[in-house]
Amino acid sequence: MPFIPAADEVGDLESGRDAASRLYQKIATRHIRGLRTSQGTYILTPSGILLSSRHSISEDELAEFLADGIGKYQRLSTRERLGRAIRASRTSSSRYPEDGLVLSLVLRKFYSRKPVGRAGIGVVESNRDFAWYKKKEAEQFLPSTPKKGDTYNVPSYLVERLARYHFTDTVRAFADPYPARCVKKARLTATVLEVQNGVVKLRYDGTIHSEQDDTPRFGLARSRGRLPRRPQRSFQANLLGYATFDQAKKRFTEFELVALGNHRGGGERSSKDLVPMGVALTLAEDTPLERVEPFHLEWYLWN
Amino acid sequence: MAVLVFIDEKCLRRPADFLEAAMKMMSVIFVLFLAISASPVPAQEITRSLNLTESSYAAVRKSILVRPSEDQWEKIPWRPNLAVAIAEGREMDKPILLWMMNGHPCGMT
Repeated sequence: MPFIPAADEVGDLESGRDAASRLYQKIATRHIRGLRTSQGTYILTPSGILLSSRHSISEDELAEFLADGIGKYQRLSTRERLGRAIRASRTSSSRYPEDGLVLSLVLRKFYSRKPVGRAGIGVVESNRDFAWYKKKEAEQFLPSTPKKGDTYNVPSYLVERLARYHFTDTVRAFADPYPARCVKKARLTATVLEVQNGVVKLRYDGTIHSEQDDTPRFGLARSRGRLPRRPQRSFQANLLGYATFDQAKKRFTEFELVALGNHRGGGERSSKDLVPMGVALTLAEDTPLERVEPFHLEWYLWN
Repeated sequence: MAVLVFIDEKCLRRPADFLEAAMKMMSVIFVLFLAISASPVPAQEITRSLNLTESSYAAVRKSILVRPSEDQWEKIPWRPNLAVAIAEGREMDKPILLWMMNGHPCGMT
C-alpha cells in the first residue's frame, strides 16, 4: 500500500496538546464554508505538509485524489517529506480494560418510511460504538457460584450504563447521554443454562426504558457535536442474549446481547415519531481498531 | 416471468415436457425459498413485530449487524490514530492517508 492509512477523531486532535494534535491543528481545514468541523480525508507527509484534502470524495474521484497526493509527495525532498521525528504520544487508551469485558456495538434503525427533507440528508441506518466493563464489573454479569438453573439480576448500574450512554440515537449524529433520572427501567437477568468443567453458559433477558421529556438538555463534559438536540426522546426495548464465561480464565469467551425496541427523538435529525431501533453487542476482538474508546467513556466516571 | 413463458411453450408440445418444466420451476422456487430464508429478516417485519424471542433472535441479530456492503472500509488496515501513522510514515517514507471524523471513524461517528 503506497499510504499509511490512519483514522482519528476531530475533537481530540483539534483540542490536543501533543505533537500529533499540534501537527493536525496546522493542516485542519474547514472544507465547507459555514461547516464547523474539519471532518474529511487528508493526504499529508509525516513531516506535516498537507498535500491534498477533501470533505467528501466520490468513488469516481478517489483514484485521482490518491494519485495527486502520491505525485506531490514524490516531488518533495526526503527532508521535506519526513521532517523531524515526533513522539507518538497517543498510542492507545490507558483506560482499556485489559481483563474486562469489551463489547462492540452496532445500532441500526429500521425506518418504515425514510425521512424526507432536511431530516433525510445523508440518512444512514447504522452506527457503531464500544462499551467497556472492568474485570470486577464483568464478573458481576453472572452469579459468583453459578449452578444450572440459577437466575441472577445483573446490578442495575451496569445495565444503566448501556441505557444512558449506548442506547441513544447516534445513528445519524451524536446524542447526549441520558441523565440517570431518565432511566425508568434497566433490568438484565442472567439464567445459568449449564456449568461444565468451569465453563458457564448463560442466557440474558431484560428490558430497558429510558425517557427524557424535560429541559434543559443534558450537558456534555466535552461537547464534540454542536448539533442542536431535542430533549424529548425515549427508547423502550427488550433484551436477549447469550454468553459463555470461563471460570479458570475469569473472563467471557463469548458474549452477545441484542436490544430491540422503539426509539423516538433525541437529535436534530432524529424522528419525533417512534422508529424501531436495534442494538447488537458482541465481544470485541483485541485489535487496535477494536480498542477505540467508548464515545461517552468520560461519563463512566472511572478513576 | 421467463420461467412461465418457458412452461407455456413446452406445454404446447407434450405432457412429459410439462412435467419436466414443472420440476424445473419447483427447483427454481426451492432455490428462491432458500435464498429468502437465509437473508436477514426484512426490516418491515421487525418494524411490525419488534419480536425478540429465542426463535427470532438469530435473524434479528443478523439484521442489525453490519452488512457486507457496509464493511468494505474495514478491510483497510487503518492505524487507530495520527501519531502512530506519523511514526510509521517516517520509517517507511510513505504519505499518510488520514480519515478524520467527529467521533472516531472506527467507533461512534
